Amino acid sequence: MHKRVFLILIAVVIAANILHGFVAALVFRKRKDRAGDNRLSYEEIKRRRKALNSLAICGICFLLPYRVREFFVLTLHFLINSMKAKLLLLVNLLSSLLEKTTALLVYFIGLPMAIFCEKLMSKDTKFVENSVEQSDVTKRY
Amino acid sequence: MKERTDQSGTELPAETRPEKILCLYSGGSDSTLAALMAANLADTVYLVTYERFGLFASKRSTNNLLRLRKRFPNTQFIHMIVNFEKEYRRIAYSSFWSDRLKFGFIPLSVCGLCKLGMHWKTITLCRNHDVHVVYDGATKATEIFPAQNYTIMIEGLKRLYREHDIAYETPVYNLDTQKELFKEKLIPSDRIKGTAKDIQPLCSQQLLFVRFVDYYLSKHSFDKYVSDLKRYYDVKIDQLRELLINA
Repeated sequence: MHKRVFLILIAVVIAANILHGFVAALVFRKRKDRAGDNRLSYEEIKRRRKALNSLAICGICFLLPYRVREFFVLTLHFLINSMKAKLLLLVNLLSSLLEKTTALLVYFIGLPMAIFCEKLMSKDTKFVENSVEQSDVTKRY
Repeated sequence: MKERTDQSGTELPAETRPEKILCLYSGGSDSTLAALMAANLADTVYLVTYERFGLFASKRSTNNLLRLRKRFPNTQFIHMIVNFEKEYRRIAYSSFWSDRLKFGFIPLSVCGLCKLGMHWKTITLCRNHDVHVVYDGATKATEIFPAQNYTIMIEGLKRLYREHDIAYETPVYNLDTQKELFKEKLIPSDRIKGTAKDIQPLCSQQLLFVRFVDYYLSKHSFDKYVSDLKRYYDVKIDQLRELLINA
């Protein structure tokens, strides 16, 4: 059941994104990039989506009276900026955790293992050097 | 009066040196450099930080002020935090529907209107404190903002100030303000804008301006943006002119 809800949610998000991109591409179809080109690319769709979001915000603010508009923009500011900041902080935290874990793993497991292997290899080499198989007699055949 | 030199190090004649300069001061690197240049010239520097709904933490502007005071112990810095809510509201909303019908989304370029409200208050302050020179930290790097663009607003503002016997100057317009401040050892690095070291008041309403610019420049060229906004701000400056006469 939960799995199905989750899949439906993902499908809705994907459909909304496609619709958003489609509407943005349509509304700003006459838009040209700096090179004077209006062909669609992923970057261009992203730019058009941003412009569509801006158009929506401007459209709402266009009609709102003074205090309501100030509150609306203030709420939007904190929603966008604090969420962005929180996400960035989360990414930073995760990357630093990952970095430290890797360093710890390398220091406490990787390094002793490497030293141990090196020692083992040198013992093996000595063994091989002194073994009968590697003697001059066996080498010939 | 002190022995003063201009930015190039040339000694200025006594009669051209103002005793008092009022500086629009946010505490950022642009306005701090403007304040530094004002302190090089005048004995008294009024630093005015504005606040209204949506503009937070005005007290953050004092960070660089302490450094300025240390650097110029003989200059009197008078820091004022002034509320201009009434002025902004009057400018931005006095002709709500007619502006919107005539100019479309352009009245959403709130940063220009906000600055116009500040200029209204500044002219009033200059009258009250008998100040005849105003310094603004406008720079070319941010000319997308109406108040930092010569064509859109600065030329009109200069005329308006002149009518009130005030010289409106933008002394740091063509300078790399961060580099200059770093040279003067007032900031820890020559690139602090947008970093945690760039301590100045916060504005939530700027989001609307950013969205307006995003939308407008996705449809029109920068030249059209400038010419359209100039048309609007010429009307708004005329409105301010009338308001100042009636005040």
